[in-house]
Amino acid sequence: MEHFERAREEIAALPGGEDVFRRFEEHLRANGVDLEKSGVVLGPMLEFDGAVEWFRGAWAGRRANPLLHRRDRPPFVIPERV
Amino acid sequence: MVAVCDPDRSLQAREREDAARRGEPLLTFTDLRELYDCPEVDAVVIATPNHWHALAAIWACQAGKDVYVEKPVSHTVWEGRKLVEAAARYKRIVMAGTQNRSNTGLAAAIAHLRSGALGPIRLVRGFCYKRRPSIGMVRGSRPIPPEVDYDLWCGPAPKGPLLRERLHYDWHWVWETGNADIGNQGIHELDMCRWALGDPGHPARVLSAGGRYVYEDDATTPNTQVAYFEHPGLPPVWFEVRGLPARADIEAMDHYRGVRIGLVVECEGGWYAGGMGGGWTYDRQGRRLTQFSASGTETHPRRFVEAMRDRDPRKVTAPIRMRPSLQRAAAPGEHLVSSRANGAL
Repeated sequence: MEHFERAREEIAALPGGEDVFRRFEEHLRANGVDLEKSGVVLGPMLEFDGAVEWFRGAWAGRRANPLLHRRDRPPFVIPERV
Repeated sequence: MVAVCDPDRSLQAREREDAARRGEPLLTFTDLRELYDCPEVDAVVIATPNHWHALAAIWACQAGKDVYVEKPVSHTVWEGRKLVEAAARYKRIVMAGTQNRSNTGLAAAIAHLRSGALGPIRLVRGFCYKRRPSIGMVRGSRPIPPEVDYDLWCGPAPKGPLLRERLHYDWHWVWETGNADIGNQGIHELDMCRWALGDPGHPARVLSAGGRYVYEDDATTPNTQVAYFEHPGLPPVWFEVRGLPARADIEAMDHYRGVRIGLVVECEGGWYAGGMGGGWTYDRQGRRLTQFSASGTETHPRRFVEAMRDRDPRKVTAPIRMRPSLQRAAAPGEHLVSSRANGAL
């Protein structure tokens, strides 16, 4: 969990993001959520290489790219070559 | 319809009874590999949980069947690519269940916006404000219903204990089998956002934030999420998911410019607000300009049949090549909850 202020800063820095985060915050407060306490799960800005369908950058290797694939449970396995 | 396959035998029985009432014969199977061996079957409709979509579709292609596969067409990006390869290799017609692609009213609205009628597009907003109550919390694992072949139900996913009350449907809210609401209902509206941008390829940058708020239950996916998609040279896309009501003391959902489930396309000279049920364009002062009624969504399955009969993939209104998904993209820290849904392109 990230502190919600950090999420606010990162999201508000994106085009259109200030309004998006303000409404996100208002909505949760209207539902009784204490964002200072609950926090926000904030993902990193991920860079995607569409040509090879793979993430690049700091978060790619350990965190992001493994989630593009699933280890299937045998015998229900999609082969590399279909 | 000549056959039904379901690892839940009680659902097979229900379908058999329905068919008997119609006076139609119906084959029933528990294992879809046996159904794929059936020469009477020309095509299959895959409406399994998400973790089965790609494998079931690939096996169907390999067995020479055409495929209508529910959205999202795959649980992960890689397996979506494998399905695209299988469809090409075995020359199968494969169509996604994003039926809004057959909505001629929405197509007209998007063509209108892309023609520049309201000036250049500046921002595209997608919305999935859909009430999602708690799924409850169990103490320990729950028994598997005896009529379910649980090994087949799990298929490629881990065969772990059932750690929620309900086996069916609530798999959407567990990462091993589902893709959260951004990859469930939200995939329809995210697809509209991509359509409004002219169906570009993958975004170059994505970011997501959110969490599972208010409830403590057995679900692991977020019930509140914002996600950002950036395609080089194109307006940004913001996608918002809300499963909680507008306020704690009511059940009604919020809306943005009248849209709860749909999209708002902001242009220099006004905006469009709508979705699968139709919509309007507005000028910068908020005055209604042009209405675009919904029509044609019900023709989506027929388009699939037409493409099959003509062996013409160009007649597929929702080709799978356009539907890779990044719902399971990554996050830092131990809490992968909302950020695992970083993408859903």
